[in-house]
Amino acid sequence: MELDDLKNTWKQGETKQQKTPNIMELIHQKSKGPLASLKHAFRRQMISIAILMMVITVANARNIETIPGYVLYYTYIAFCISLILAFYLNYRRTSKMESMDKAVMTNLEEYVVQLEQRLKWQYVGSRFVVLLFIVLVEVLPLFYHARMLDTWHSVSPLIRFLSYTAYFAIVYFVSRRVKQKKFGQYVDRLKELVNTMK
Amino acid sequence: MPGNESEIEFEKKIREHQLLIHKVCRIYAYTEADRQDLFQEIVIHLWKSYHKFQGLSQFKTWLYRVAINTAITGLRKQKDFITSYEPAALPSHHADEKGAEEEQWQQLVTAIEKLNEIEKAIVMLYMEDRSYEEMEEILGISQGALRVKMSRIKDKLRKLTKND
Repeated sequence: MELDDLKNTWKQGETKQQKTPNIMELIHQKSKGPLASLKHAFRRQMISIAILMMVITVANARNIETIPGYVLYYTYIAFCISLILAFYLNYRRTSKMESMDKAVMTNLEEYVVQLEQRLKWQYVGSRFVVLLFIVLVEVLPLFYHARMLDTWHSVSPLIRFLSYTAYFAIVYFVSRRVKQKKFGQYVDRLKELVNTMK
Repeated sequence: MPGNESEIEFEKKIREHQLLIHKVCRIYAYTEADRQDLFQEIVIHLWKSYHKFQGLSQFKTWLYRVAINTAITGLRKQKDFITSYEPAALPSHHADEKGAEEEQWQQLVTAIEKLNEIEKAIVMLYMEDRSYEEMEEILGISQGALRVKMSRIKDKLRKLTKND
């Protein structure tokens, strides 16, 4: 098959009747693309954390006079606010990625960089949350006595350390595997395309 | 947000170039449902970027950029996510293409489907008689590299159709 001989065939394809949806309706619909899904996920996460923060704030408002409660309470608020901020920044970054009018190679390169950075920060974020949880579980009983925490602290430090290590390793590998399955193949394919353009 | 006048102007321009968008959908999506989804995505992205279009390039060039970028980055959303370009791994559902008169068109499109996303874009622009200068503006690949790639693609298509 000679490509040049088929230019007419290609052009005749244009004459084929195509079913075009109503353009005015289309532009008022929401995008279903990967970026729109990401934005939707960030928005949902921001709202969920804000609601959770409000519920716990209201439920614990009476107990904040005690010093440990006070520390725990504000640590929790700060943690929630930083999570909301992180999701908001990701949301803004994803919105910027929606602009598709650059040359294909430039657009793809920037797109891959943004996706990789986002994935990297998600890894860092998930590890930070696990470490924070471990530190809280270890430090809190020094100020605050709860039955579950006291029971956990009666266990040998070696077993606790091994449990934390196992927990950290599980979160590390599971999050890596989930992200790789969800985005890895997609990012690898885009990177491969960028390389073929160079 | 652009007003109603912009919407009307935009609709008119899209209607004028709708066949071009249909062709992008035809070579990047493998089922009718995916093609419809891709058409919608392209139009939405065109509309979102429309206020930024200042006429520095031709409307057609700008449209190609947005359409190809949307098609390539939207691959993840496709129901038939292509992980291999080996003929056996490609989906084979062309039941919506009917009629003997379309056989040659079908053969051409089937061969193009076996190329990777960038090669598809290059072939499409070549078949649309876009100049190498314009192809460079759309794809961001130098004219020299485009000529080399085009020659390789022609060989590849020749081999692919020989095997069929």
